[in-house]
Amino acid sequence: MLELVYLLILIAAISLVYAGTRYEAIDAILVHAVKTAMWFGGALLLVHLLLYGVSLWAG
Amino acid sequence: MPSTSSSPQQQDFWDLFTAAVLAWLVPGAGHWFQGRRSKAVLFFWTITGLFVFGMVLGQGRVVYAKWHPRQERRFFFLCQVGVGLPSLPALVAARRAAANKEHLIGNLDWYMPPDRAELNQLYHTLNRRFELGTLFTAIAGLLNLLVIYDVCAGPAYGKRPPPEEQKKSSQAEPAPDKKTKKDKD
Repeated sequence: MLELVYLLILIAAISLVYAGTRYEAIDAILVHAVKTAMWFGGALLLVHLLLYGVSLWAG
Repeated sequence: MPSTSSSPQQQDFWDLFTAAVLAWLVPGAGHWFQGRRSKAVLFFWTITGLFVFGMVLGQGRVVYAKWHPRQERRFFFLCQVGVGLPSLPALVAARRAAANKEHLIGNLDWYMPPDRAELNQLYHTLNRRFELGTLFTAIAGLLNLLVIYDVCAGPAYGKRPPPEEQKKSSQAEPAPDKKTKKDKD
């Protein structure tokens, strides 16, 4: 569970900095950061589910 | 100091160079120098916070400079140095270690490069926190490289800036037609 907290911190930081380099206005940055974080989180979840599926199939 | 809120395109080379160096030394300082205060605060807290979190996880032992062909080549330091001043004590500590001096900061082993036995002990004591601390500090350094790019080249909008930011930049620049009319008079 603690690993999830580390992951959330990392996703939040990367999303904020990435969005900060895309826009100038702070509102646009925050909106883009949330969208980026959702993309990252979604991609990681997909990979996790894929690996979980493989582990079940492999036994 | 450049005029407040001036875009990177409107600044000369030395202003940009100064801003880039400041951005490297202290995350967000380059943006503060350019008058982009809200982004300066955002980048400072995000990157410095990530770096400090990594240091705390690794108990100050994850940022060190070591390049020994037979022992360890610390590639991660090449990423961590992107954060600037918070990582530079590692270079001083490496020199102290080479001169067989102990401790850089008081009685703390922070930034001191560990030998093989010490490194094994660190992995044993800290487990995954050593790797996580290394990762967090390295990512902080790499993110600061993006920030330095933003200082020099401005936001990477993509095809075109959003409407509200297009409006701001057109209001900041003077209309060329009015100037030529005045010159003619």
